[in-house]
Amino acid sequence: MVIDLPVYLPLLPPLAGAVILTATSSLYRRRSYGAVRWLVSLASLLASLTFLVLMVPSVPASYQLGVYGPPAGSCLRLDALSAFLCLTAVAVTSLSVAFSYRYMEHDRGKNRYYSLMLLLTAGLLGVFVSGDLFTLFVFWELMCISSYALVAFRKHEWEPLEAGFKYLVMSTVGSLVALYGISLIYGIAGTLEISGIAEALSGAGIVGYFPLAMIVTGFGVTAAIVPFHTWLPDAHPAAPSPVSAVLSGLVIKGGIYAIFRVLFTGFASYGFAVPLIILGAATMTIGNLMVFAQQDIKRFFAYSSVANMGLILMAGGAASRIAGAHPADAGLAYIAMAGAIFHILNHALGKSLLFLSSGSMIHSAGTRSIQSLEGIARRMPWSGGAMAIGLLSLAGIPPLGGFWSKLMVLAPLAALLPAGDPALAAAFAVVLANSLIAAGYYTWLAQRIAFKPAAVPESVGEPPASMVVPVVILSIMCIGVTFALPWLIPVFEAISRSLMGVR
Amino acid sequence: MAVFSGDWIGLAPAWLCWLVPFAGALIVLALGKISRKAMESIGAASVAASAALALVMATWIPGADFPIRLTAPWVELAGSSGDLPFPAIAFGILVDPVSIILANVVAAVGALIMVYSIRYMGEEPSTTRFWFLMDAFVGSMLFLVMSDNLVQMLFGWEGVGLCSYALIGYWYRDSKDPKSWLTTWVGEGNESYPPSHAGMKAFLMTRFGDVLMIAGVILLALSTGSFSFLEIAGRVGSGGSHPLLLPASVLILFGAIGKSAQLPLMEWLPDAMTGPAPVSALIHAATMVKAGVYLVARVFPIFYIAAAADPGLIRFFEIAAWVGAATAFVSATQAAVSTELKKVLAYSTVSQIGYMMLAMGVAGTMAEFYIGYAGGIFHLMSHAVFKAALFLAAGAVIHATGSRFMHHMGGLRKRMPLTFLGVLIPSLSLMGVPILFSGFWSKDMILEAVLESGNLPLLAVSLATVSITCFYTVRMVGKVFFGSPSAPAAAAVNGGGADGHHAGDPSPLMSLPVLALSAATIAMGALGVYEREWLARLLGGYIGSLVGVHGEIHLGDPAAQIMVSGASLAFIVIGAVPAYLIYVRGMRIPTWRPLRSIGSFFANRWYINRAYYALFVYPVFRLGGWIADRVEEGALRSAERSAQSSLLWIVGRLKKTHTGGLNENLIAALAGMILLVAMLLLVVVP
Amino acid sequence: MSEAFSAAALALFFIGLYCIVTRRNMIKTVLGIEIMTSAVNLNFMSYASSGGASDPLGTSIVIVSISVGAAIAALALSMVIAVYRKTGSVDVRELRRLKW
Repeated sequence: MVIDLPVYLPLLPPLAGAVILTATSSLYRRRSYGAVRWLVSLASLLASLTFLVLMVPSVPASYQLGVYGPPAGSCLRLDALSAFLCLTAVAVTSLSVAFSYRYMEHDRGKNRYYSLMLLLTAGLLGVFVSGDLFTLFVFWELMCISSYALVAFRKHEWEPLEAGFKYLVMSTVGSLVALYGISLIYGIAGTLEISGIAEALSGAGIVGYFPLAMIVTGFGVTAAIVPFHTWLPDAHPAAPSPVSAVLSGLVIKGGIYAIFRVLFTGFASYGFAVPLIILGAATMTIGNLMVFAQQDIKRFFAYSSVANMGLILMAGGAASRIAGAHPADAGLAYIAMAGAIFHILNHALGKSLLFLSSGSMIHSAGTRSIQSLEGIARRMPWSGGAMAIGLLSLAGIPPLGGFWSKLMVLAPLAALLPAGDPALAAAFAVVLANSLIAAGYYTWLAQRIAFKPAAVPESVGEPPASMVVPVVILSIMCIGVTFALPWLIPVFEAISRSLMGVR
Repeated sequence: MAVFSGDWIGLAPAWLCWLVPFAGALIVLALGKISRKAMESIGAASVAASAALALVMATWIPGADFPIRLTAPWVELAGSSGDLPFPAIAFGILVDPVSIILANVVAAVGALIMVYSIRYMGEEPSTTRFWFLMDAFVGSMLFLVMSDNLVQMLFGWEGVGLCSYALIGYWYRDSKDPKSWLTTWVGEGNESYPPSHAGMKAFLMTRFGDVLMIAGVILLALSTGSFSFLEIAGRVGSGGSHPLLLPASVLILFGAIGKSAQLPLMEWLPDAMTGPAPVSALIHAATMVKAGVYLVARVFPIFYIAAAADPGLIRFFEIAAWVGAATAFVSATQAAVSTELKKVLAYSTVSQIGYMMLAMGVAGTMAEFYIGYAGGIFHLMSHAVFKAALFLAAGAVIHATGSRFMHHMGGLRKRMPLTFLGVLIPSLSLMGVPILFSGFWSKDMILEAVLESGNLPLLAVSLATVSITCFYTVRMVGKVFFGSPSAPAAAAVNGGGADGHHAGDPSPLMSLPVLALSAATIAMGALGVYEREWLARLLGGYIGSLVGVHGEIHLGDPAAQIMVSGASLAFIVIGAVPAYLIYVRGMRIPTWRPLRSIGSFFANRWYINRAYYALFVYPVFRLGGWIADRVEEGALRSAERSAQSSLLWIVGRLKKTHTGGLNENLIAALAGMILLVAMLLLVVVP
Repeated sequence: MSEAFSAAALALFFIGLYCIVTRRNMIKTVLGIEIMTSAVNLNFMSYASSGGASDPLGTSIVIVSISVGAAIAALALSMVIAVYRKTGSVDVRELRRLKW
């Protein structure tokens, strides 16, 4: 049954929720109404989820905002990739918000917190459904500004302030560079609709590649691509754990999504393939290497997010390289791209799981140092076990999800080794080496958390149920990915086909 | 979309039989806190239900057209254009005579053992973990048996390995008080191991085999383009020879060697006796250790067909046969001098599985493969029955006397008559005493196959092992049930033994399964002639249709049968009579020096165990300690000491670039952008 | 005509960038952000205007961009104030406590 719902509908509940929370803020000064605030947030997110699920059959759908049609007006487009990312976003955000109820209980200004989370979600969803660069920019800024405020949320502590300011400056510079690039595209093409700019840009020659660089740089700042990544290891640990989960799990994916969407839809040839591979390789390697120096568990996860973004970027670069230089093997390009998209899902689930479960541990034990958190799984079996599942999934241990996405990226590269393409061969070597290194440190952390004698006092125990349940749900989803493979793999292949189009 | 192909509803027992124990395991977890009785009942009932389902499957054998496959797609990476040479992994169930027979063995024996466990584990404080693991084990084993492809079988393989490890180390607290040492530890002197160590040892040794097996599976899949048993067999037939097949086959054999405790990976099984008696019966006698034989039986058609095209592949079967024969001999000698009751049974298990491996190997070298193949499967069935009975009875004896050592037992025949019967009958079957016992028929079928293959050295080793088997079996029965009771046994006999142990027949819940299994071994023996023929025809016809060999099933001429029976009878007498005289009649023998040094060589397990520890275990411990001290502490405590290794040096340099200053960060970002523009211009503008 | 505006926008963009990268005072950093925002807005308008009526798309982007710039400035300045309350200075080099 195909219900014809307008594409903007999933965006409304979070926005409405934020407005309602702010308008009724005076109500929550009394303790007992705090739960209402939490429930309102959850309700709006679940409403959004419902709308999305109902809209899935009608994909692809689009919607015109305002009076002007294309090419002048703004439009929203929900295609397979957007629908998939929106569903992931709402799912992870709902679980983080559910987790926040007890985690944030000692913080002040919770009203602002929930409103900002809802605004962040609305911005994120908007980014995924925008059909033209203007709408993308609007929702992008909504998302970014909410995230700056959320990172610096605990402003009475030093770390969030420093991290928040640095994040704000770097990300704003990035957004402005991207906006400048968008203005150049506007100047060249006269329109900002993503599918419409392809022709104009291909006709512009060299000049068309400056906006490309600026867009990759600008969105790459948020996507934590080296060398624009330096804000992330400060910002993600400084934010409260549920916010870190959403940031690492979703916001940085928003950056990658914007890059992929603009590049693959807006540029007719695959010339950007090798620079993407190089950037991805640098990101992955530097991210993985910096993990080894970390003693703070949240910084550990932050650098590993950088590394995983590198993997996704490399997969996209490899896919475009295969499609561009070896058009006869286009099927392999689709598989590589499908692997990138699958890894977005795996990393979103896994990293948010890791940040939430470590949030439980930090909440109970009061420390972020890995040394002091050794063996904490013995005191907190559910959270510790879930964290172990997340670590193993991201490490790429079969049969958990991370293994399949890495396989889908590596297999086409391996199949093309005989072709002797240096870019692809280098990509294969880098991805393989980095995956092994990453597997090493994830399992090292798992061993430290679970098998060492507990360094925390006896009093540390499992946190309240509302903090354990989201974590367990995420770990079940990490395992469930394996069972859902027959349904997931065709979906990802279809998405990558539609993203890369037929050239 | 996922498409289920095949009659999933009509053939429901094929997938219900493993799903029910898994569900039972989860229910056990939930019920554990609520009611112990309910938990035990559900735990046992789920396996019983599984046995019933397996029985339903057995009724399909006469009429159905095998093989029957049920499949659902799982991972298909090839894309619509099929450009990726990655074989699709489907989720599938293979219903054929071999899997049905195995499923029945596993589930039926398992059900009886579960009933036994209710009483045996009755005194333990909290047994939730036990029941959960036992049910999960049965589920994994049946999952393994019913799998239609190698990857899925690997899932079951790992599952049984995990449950086995957890159950061997069930009493992981390794309590050192004398009472526990006598019942839960294993070994003596500096080869004495606590339960947790034994569990880890089992895990690591089988792991080693598993790693090699996974490599073999990958090679096999890459060379044939599929993971499914039937599809591989089909492709090997039409594709001609492939150089990777022989290495793949040997690597896969290593997995079987690890799991079935054959040479050179046999050392874990004797030390796995730290687990409770039901665990030893179920996992280490009747089912998990047979998984290796099952694996060889499953890949048998593949390599048999391939051997027709490429004679070099016969090596695989020859290796399997010799591994089996050598293992049978070596472990039999170790059983002959062992001082612990369960260890004798463990070595005996290793030895008998050696026979099954021998049968499979020898079958592959002959045109009339069905004698060996059916013999191997027949011996698998009959061994499961009598060995499980022996282990369960041994559990009762150890429980009654409070010690695992045979020199603490003796003369128990009068106080534990039912147990004695439950040991005597299976022992006679193990020895292969003619006509009435299933062991005779199955073992002789194997010997016949060896004779038909014309490999006289193998035959000699097999017959020698028959003697030694009889020797240790009679020795065991004599030491435990005959002779004058040792001090602890005497105390137990008079009631109030060590810690109130009271030697007497255990409760019906424990003795009935033992007697049921003993009766089964007699029943199988009585019908031995018919079983022989039936199995040979069934398996010969089925496997024959797979490998493309059709023809009359000749069960060998009577002359060969009589020769083999006669020879085995002779060797039985050679082995049994001395043991009878020494251990039952109590005859004293002069201590003859060469005999003593041979004996101590066997008792030291041919020094294989010590060699492994010296070569592998202790050096790795030392290396691990060195790494923990020098590398980990150094890296974590002071990351500035970047001289530890080149990786840390690189990380150290990298850290200096992350200064934290906002201005530097921005400059770096802009530099990156300029680099990007440069790259684009260089790459795009040729 | 629009080329002159685009060139001016480019110059302004780099001035803003220079300001952010080289200034030690956090408030000057925020000013730099605002200058860059103005540069981008100018660039948009330079392509949107054609002497007569401006292209509504470009104009609406500029309006949104201005409001976004204002929000960012407000947020950034509130962070600057919080830092000042903690350390008594607005020097960016104070923000070096988080390193590798």
